[in-house]
Amino acid sequence: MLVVAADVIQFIIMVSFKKVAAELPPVSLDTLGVGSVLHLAWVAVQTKYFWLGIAGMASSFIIWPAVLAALDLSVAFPLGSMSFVLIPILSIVFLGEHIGVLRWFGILVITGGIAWLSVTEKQPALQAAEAKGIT
Amino acid sequence: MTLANYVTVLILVTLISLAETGAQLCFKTAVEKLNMPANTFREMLMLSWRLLFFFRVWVGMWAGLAILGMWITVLGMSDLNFAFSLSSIHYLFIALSARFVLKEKVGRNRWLATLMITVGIAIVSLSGGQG
Repeated sequence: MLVVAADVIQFIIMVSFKKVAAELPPVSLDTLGVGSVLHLAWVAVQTKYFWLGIAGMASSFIIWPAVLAALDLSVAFPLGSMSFVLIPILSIVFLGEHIGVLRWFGILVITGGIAWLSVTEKQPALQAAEAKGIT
Repeated sequence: MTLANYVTVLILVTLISLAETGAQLCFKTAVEKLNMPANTFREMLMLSWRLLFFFRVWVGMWAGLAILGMWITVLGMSDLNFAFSLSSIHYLFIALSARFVLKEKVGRNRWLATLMITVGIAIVSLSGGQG
């Protein structure tokens, strides 16, 4: 459950900062200086999405260490790829987006990898975490 | 995209993947060193608070900022789908570093599952144009 929560929060952070970037004035690399960067930062902190992104990062800093405390890094990190499966499904359900055949195939491969990892890696830490209801 | 652009994007994405791997190693080793329970929300908060006193955790967080900066640069040079598909390689970097740095037991099944996820992400990213 924590891994899924971490994925959803990651999605919220990405969407928030994308929304912030969309609200910023256009930038030219030629005229980019300290003044313009500070101005961009000032505009960014005045948007509500910036603070939503910051809140997401703070939540992520609480949840991810708990995941790492329960699982090996080489298990926890690949399990985090569930966002690649969850986001397209959420996009279909809530946004009515169309998903192509190739993308469905990719989602199937990722799901297969996650399922394989979950079934074959019943390590002691994972079993203990499941017993406590962490994962 | 020109060849020089491809090479730059490739180098930057590799750096991003290495920085991501380094940041994760910083967090994981700090969490292991603390060896605290994180079963309740209160324990999770305590764990996060104690992590703030680790220098390596701050290194990991600054690496996160550097990653953000490099991503913005990469996205200005290539499309998101191409860059994202390349970045799926960091799942392999994580597995390699977990095996050789953290001495985790990465068996055949874990390698194959990680490889499947990496390939799957590359396919999903490259299919971006299909919607």
